[in-house]
Amino acid sequence: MTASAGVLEATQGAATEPAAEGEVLLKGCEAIAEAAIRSGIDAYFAYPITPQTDIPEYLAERLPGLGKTYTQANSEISAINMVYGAAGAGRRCMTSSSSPGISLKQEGISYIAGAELPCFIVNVMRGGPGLGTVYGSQEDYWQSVKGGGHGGYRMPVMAPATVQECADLTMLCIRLADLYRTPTLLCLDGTLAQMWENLRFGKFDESGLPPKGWATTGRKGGRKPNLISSIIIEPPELEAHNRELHAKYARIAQREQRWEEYQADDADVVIVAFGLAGRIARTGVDLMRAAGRKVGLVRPISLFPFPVDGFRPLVNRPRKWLVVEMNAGQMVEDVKTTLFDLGRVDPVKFYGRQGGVIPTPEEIADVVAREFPKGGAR
Amino acid sequence: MTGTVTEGAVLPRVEFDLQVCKGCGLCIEACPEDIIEYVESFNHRGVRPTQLVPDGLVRCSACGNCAVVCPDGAVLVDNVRKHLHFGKNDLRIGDMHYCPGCDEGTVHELLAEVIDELGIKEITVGVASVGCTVFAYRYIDIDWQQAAHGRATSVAWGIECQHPELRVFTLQGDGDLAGIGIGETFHAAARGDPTVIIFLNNAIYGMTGGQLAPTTLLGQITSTSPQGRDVKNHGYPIVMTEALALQEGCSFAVRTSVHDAPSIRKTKKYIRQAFLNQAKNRSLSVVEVVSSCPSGWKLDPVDAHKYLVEHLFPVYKPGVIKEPPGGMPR
Repeated sequence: MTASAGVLEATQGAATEPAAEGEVLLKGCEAIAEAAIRSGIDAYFAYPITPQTDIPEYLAERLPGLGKTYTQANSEISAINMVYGAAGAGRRCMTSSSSPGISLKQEGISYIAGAELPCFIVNVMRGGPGLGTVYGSQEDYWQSVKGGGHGGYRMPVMAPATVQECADLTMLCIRLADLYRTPTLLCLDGTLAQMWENLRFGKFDESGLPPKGWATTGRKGGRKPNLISSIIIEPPELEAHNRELHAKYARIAQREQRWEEYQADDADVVIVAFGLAGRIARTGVDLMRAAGRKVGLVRPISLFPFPVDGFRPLVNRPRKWLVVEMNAGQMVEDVKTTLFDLGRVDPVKFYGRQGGVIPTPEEIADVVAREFPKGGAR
Repeated sequence: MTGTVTEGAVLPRVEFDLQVCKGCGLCIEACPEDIIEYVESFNHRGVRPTQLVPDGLVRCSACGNCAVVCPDGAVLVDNVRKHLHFGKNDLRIGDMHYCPGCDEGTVHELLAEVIDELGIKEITVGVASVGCTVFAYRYIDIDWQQAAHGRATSVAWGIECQHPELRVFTLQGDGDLAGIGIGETFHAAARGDPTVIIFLNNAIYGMTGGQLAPTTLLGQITSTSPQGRDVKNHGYPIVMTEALALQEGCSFAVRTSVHDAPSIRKTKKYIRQAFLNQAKNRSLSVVEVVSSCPSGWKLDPVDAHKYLVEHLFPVYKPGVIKEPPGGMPR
């Protein structure tokens, strides 16, 4: 019996609801770690930080037995640079951390983006700024999608709302990394990372992934040397390189948008919320529908690319918009920009809780009632 | 004094590449026969290159010192008795961007020779950090990764843990290894990574134009210690290699230099030993090369080497600090 089977059996014993055939009960962090293993990661580079330490603990137990690498680095900075080395050597690899640690990794992520190396990064967001709190928040939206490091790069960012999505989007992120030669980020809050739910693992899609002929594996057979680098001193050359990067980001923006729409079609008020806030808002929609309000939800799953296509069917008539986030208002900027670009001047309101405080569905319903009274003035 | 040609004697082949030469004058200083001089005209770099004096070939003992000390491989000395073939091999490519008389060029020459001679060019990957050596990939024709400032040993471990068959080395300056990357450096020693660290210690930040470095000497004037390094403001210079040698995971540590022909020959042996140790003992090997930075130190290349011997050696003493298991080869 492998260590993982032991973990899975032990966790199933703790289930309050029996898992259906093929389902397992895991917490968010464990689902991510297990999905990464099933996606064939070769190496994981760790540094402990709450509330994501279940990921390194799970992988420390599993990876060595599979003949894979688990290294606990001396810092988050060192860990992301180990990722750079291993990814540059052509291997599928991963690191994870929580907000302050992700800040430390930003320089390395910028280098990885510049050198176009595929790798998978997890940010289990906690409340900030500074050391903040270990409780979950969504305060790293800007850092995640606007390029937390220097140099104006982008990378695919996926935001799960369930433990099932933690697993599915891990597999997707690892695939997109190899497909586009880019770092990818799974961005979730600390509460979801610690939440237990039943889930079913999908199968990693290896189809169409390009070979890594660029990797530094030694110039065997006298092939031309390979170079992993982000230094391009001459401005016209760097401009050409950056144009290629941004053409790639445009392709990603076109092809990789993901979102969930829930009862938005006939809604007068549409809530936009991602991750855990999106999940809570969905329950809020049910409450308000039961009370006779036509309220719906758009839940962005891909934060970069921002799912503009999810808004297109909803701009056919005037609606009211409420953005709910577990921060002071970050994604709301992208919602306003998107609606403006789609030709709408609908009112957009924001409601946020911060510092690890989680809004309730009732609270969101109250906000809708207050901001957009039924039959009230537009 | 002029020489005479004995009938039937084979003269050495001595070639000076006037276009590659940066006019540093190190060959003039190294020549025991005093038969090298500056050319009157300027080359495409705008410097006066060096050449043999008229009839110099007759007096030349073919010691090879001029070829050995040339940081840019601009001199070739080949004699029928012994092949001194420094400076030219298939792996050393390109025209190096280093300032005239910079020791880093010499270290590149040695690295290329050792990798070539050990027959490991197909399994060797270099990691070059931010600093003057960041363009090393242009000069040694193998696979390279360019690392963020200070993170070379972490990048090296990322490669090594995935490809144990590869020989990975880092090329790091003192700001990189002893300043911003001191944590990464020590943990490579603590883990016992099978990396060869080539540590170029010139006691200054070279690429950024000569600022105070962790290894800058007390009293040394830099652009950010214009009154000289003083303990109150800047603390003491860090002595790295002895400290790394204390770690169990470091199995070979040596401090050397490339300021003259004998030291260059010795350094080549040490670099070779480091790569042999890497293969045999699979733990960290450190070769610290105490180097000059004529531009940063604001000294003529020849005077910079004198400064190195007089001032750096008392603080950074050359010699084997930790012998590899089984001892140094005879």
